[in-house]
Amino acid sequence: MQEEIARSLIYAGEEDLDFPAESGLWRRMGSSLLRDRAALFGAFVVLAFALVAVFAPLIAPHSPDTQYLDGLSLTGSPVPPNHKFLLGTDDLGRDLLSRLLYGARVSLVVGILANGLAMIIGVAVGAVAAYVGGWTATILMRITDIMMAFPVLLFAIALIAITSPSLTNIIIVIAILYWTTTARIIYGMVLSLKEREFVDAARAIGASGPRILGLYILPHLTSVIIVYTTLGVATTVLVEASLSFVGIGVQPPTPSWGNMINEAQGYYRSDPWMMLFPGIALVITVLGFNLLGDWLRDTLDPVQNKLG
Amino acid sequence: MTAAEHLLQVWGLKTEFAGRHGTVVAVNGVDFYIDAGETVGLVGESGCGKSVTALSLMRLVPDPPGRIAGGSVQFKGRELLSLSKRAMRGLRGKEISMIFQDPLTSLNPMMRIERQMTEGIRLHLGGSRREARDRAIEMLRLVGIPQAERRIRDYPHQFSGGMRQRVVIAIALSCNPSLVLADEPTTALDVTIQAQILELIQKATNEINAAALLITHDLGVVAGACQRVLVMYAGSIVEEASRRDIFYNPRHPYTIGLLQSVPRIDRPRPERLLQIEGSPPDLARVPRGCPFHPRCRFATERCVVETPELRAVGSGHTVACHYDITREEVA
Amino acid sequence: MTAVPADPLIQVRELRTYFAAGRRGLLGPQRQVRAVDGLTFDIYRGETLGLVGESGCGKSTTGRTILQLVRATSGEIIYDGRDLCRISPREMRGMRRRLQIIFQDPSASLSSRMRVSQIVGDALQIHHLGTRQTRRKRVGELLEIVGLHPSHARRFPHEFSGGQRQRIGIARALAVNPEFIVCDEPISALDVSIRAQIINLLEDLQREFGLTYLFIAHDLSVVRHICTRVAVMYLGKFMELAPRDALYADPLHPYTRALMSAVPIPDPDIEDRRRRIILSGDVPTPLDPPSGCVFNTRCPLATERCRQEVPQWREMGPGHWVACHYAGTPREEDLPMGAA
Repeated sequence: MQEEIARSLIYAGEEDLDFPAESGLWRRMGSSLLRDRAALFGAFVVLAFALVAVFAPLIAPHSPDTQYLDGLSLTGSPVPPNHKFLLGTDDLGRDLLSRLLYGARVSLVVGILANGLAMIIGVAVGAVAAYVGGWTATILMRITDIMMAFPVLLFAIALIAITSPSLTNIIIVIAILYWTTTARIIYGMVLSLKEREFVDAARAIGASGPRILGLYILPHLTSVIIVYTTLGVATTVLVEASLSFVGIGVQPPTPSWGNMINEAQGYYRSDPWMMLFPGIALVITVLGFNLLGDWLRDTLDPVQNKLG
Repeated sequence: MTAAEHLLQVWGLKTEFAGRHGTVVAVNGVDFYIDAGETVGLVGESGCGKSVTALSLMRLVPDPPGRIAGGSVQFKGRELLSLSKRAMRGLRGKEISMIFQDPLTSLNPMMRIERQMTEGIRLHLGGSRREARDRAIEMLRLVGIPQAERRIRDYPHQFSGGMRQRVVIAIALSCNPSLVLADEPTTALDVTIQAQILELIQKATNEINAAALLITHDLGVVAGACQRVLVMYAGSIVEEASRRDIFYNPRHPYTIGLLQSVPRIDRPRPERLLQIEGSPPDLARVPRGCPFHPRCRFATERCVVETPELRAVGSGHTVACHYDITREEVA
Repeated sequence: MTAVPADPLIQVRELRTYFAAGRRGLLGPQRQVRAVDGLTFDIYRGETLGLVGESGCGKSTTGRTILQLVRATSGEIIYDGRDLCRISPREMRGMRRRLQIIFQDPSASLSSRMRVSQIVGDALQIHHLGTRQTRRKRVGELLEIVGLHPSHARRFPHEFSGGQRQRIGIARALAVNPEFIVCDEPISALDVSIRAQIINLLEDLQREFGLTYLFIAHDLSVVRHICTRVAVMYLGKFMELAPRDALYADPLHPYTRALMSAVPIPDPDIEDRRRRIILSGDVPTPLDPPSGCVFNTRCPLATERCRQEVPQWREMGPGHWVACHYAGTPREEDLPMGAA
């Protein structure tokens, strides 16, 4: 008893030395997720998409490139869904399901890499502009404005036409065109964060600009970055599909949902499944990422306020 | 004075909030009274429940997450906690009014002062627009706003902080309330303005014979302005006494500690300030037994397990402490 | 308090900090907030110089300008033979080992996303002091010095109370063994029952580490307890500067006297008896300070001369400086001030 009293006197009133750092933050987020059906759907879709993309070779019933004789009807047209080809075949007799699964890989790779690159560029530009201010900021943000004014798809087409439609180039092109939204948002946030007193405190102990940006300001941006990365994947998946649809993205025979839809154009009346299934896959994936991103934005912000 | 004659009689008031980790009891069974015309001080630190007490009297506690869980609030013989919402609205501003801490947020920045004042006046006292306006101007003059007829057309941002608080006081007094609840009315103001405003509150409430509950964390403010003082800690009243008794004969270790830890400009400098150890508890985790025991140098085992009740130690002087502690023992 | 001043640690000369505040109309002159408007004073080694005044008087800006957290518009701040206003940012960063600050708001001055160990220990990393092991040990020591437990280093600021967060801020300031600390209203944001703890802690630290403080506050009672000399500011200028005992026993400037009479005293008999000097009006805006003596618009003694002529800063007693035309002339009011 006396020890209890004495202990609290010594440690300035501290009652509970084992109070965990972020008391059940994960648990609270988990239960909040379970209650929100839309978000739950989104999370499920994202998870499924990731798993499918990673384990496609193990899951796919057939190889995506093999053209099967019984994949074409007697008249040489695609076969509708049956017990061997669960989603039917395309005009070359290839199993649509397997192509769909492998197509997910492409979307995943492009989605993550292109988006990741775009985020890095966007955060760098926005943060540096906001922190340094002056002419640097003006120049950087004007460049951002100019980039935002471009019709993205046309620009992408032009760029890839100049170079060549390889996977790497697609990733780079998408990244170059999509960093601008992030830059704007990060710019606004860093602009207000740098006025906070803990930044003054960091300067007072001798921290240099880059150190303050990286160690003091950046951690406050993680929530926003998580949200916008998730939402960004939805966009990049769609952009990649668009580019492939137009023919300058992933080139056949490598399956991409975009080029699958492209190839299905001539057949949409007679063999609609060729276009339907990749289309549905695209819609569900994009929707899923958007829903998850929205939920993340709603939950992470108030929590950030409580902690911040 | 018997219970029936007090202007305001509060019994066992309990107000709770639904928090992240369970229920937070902000006001834990509080009893007190206020008589007509007197000024009572309610002293306590931030988070002790004093503001919630005032909001509870006015039934302005946001519900959810807050809730008045029990007790009785009798005002002029009527039970406020069972009044209809409509009846309560009729009471607020007319019989009981409130002055909040920050004049910046308690005035509507988009409305001219005239409208903010006359709305209330017409609502509670009736009358034409012209009559309400005249009354508003009269109130502005009472609180010392120069050129009242001109300034009544201004917006809040055109007044300085001290002036805005005067306007807030004018609004609070405009319908001749019997009771004014002033929640830290001078905390946001500079010390020279603070003196002005305190004097104004005293003068104005005297003039209309209104009673006042002056809520503050500053013991100095209470010394000049109140007749009786209530000291609140962690949701409970720990001491109640006349003004003189609180300052010259405090009996609760918390009150004594507060008085002794504050540097005095009129006394010789001590070598070292007498400090109270520890910090005020989070209302979500109020210590068992006496809420002050972790910080009290006289705490015994009894204090840890048994919550002290308020007991009389003199005329009109009650303390919630198991022991008889006086100033001399603490020094 | 020693009557003979030691050598000055910091010398401030004609310091001015003005902030731009937009133009009047499109083509009007650039308006300026004259936060600090011509201060000249010394800070002596080992003393606690108090800087008092009400909101907007420029005391906080003065502290921050000395530490170069805010750029001075003109003037000099001489420390260790160098003018801090003119050295390179890189050199100033080196200086920051010896000049530190404790902020008013313990919640805002600690980044909610950093652990206490990072907050307190970052200065050690920045100035390349010690190794990872010794830094950890040092952080633990610092936490103990300020009354916390070394195990608290793992935690985040939101897990602590206001008073504890302020202790963390103090530990941060002490990390690199500074010799001068600006205390910017260090207890204003804290609960009343813990203010004494922090004041005592600051005094103990000063004694143990030989620190010099610039103590910025608006509470005259606290300033009297902890400071050895006190300067009174109003609208960016000094009204009075004197050794503590002299100031409180015999304040010469009408503003100082008004401030003292406004301080609430927790003593009913005194409060009943005292006659307050109530100043009229509100504090004028530092955008457009009054001409002549800046205090003339509210001063009970103001005359035409006060409106026209800026009073001289003159020494009226040993180390006791006042800027008032009428300082020292007999007054009617008698303030019940106790012995020093």
